[in-house]
Amino acid sequence: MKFRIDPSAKKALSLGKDAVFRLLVLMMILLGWLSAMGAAALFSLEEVYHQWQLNQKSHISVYLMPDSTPQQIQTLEEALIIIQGVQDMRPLNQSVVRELVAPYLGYDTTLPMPKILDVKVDPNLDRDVFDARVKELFPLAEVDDARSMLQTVAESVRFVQAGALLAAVAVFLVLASLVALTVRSGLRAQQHALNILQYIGATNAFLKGLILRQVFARAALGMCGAMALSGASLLVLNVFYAPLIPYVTSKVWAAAVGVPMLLMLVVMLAAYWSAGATLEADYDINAPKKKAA
Amino acid sequence: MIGDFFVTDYAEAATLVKIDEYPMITFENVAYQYPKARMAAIHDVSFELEEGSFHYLTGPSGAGKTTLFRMMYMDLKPTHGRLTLFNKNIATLDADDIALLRRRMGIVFQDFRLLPHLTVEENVSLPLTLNGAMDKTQQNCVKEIIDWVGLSHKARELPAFLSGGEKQRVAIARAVVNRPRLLIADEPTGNVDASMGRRIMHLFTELNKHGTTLLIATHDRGLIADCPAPSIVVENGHLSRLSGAA
Repeated sequence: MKFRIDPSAKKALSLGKDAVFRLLVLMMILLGWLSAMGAAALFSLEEVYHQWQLNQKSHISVYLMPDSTPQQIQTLEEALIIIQGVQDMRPLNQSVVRELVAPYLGYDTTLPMPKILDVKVDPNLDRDVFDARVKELFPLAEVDDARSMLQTVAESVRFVQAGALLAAVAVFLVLASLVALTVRSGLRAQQHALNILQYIGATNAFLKGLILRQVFARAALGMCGAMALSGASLLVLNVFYAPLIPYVTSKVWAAAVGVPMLLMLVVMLAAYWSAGATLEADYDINAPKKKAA
Repeated sequence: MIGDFFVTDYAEAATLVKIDEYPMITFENVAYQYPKARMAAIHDVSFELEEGSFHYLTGPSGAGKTTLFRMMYMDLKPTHGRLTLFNKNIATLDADDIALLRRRMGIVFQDFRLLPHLTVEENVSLPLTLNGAMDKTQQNCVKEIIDWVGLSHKARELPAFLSGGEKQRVAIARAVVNRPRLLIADEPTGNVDASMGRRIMHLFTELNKHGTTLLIATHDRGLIADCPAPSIVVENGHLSRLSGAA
């Protein structure tokens, strides 16, 4: 069994002569880049959310009345530090508190500022015990509870991710349809050559091999283009938008490289199916004969 | 030159010439009606061609010769009756079976059907490349047959730069290069001069002597007189007679 195809056989069925087929590389680059950036954004968002969530979960702010004395605050600190999960705490400087409320009350407010105790905690903290102890000593104190907000943010993030996933599926479907169309269009443009090859005994497997090699060559070119463009986009973002750097993790880079590869697989499957369907119809001697383009 | 083409593998060819017990082509009450046509193009045609035989297919234009030809290279399936090629009912064949049977056939089309973006050499070598890359013997075989049809000086030319007669010779070279067991040719000498016509018929008769079954469609009475063989005469879609050698 010989696996090397003679160059003249490759030339015999050249889908590249069809203008639509020539667009395959461009489509692959564009859609590959779009979906790679989409996936990269998805992983970045996950990272942003993860880091923010860690920050939210590791700090609790306790808001005390403005007239709370340092003695009362120290008593509270002593009562809280013995709770399991509380690691450290410190009262915020009044200038910091003023900065925090300035967006709501302005810098020149004469209202008395609350006292804020910033408590550093770990995941072992039992929030109910913590809240009960605070209320016991300071009935009018307010304790930040980020749980419901975290839940809302988590749901929003998941919603955005599901939307992006749907968009990715749509991109894949669009590309699969475009590939099926371009293969079909390429074969129609080469109907004359295709018929001659069939008349001299080319099997469907042989013809499919010729077609898939050409699709592979173009799709691989498109895939490399999409990878290069995605990589370059991430580098540019890193250079010109430094705050993004912590969120461009290895997963984000893997998405930029992996999604075009996945797209390549989709392209090859679509081409295999489309070529098979077109050739089967062509060899069907009961089917009406198609005119050469 | 033609001798070289056959002598190269004469011993091998001789062993390949095996007359099978079944006819090469059998038409049994075959009819064909094109889709949307009001009348059948072929009616109730029955005949048999033995392996190794040589026949002409004659008849006026529009008599149904092309339809019979298309059925023989499995481009059309009978709408009625049974057509058997190489002892296989073509109605039951799948795409791969059809392809493999076509590899045992040589077809010369009246309109040549050359691939316009391949050179003469590449067009002729196509049947040999279907199993992969050609070996040295096959490459020599291509050179010999191109030389024999008198086109070695145009081996690297594209069909667009060839005359009608030259294209016909390329089509013939492509049809015979893999030494087919069945050769069907539609007006193979229609575009060539008398001398080349005789050379082509000589090649065909040599192939026939080595076991290739020949069916040649022609209007050329001179050709039939020069190279006598039984004729299948088709008129108005019917087989009007099966005449003996002239």
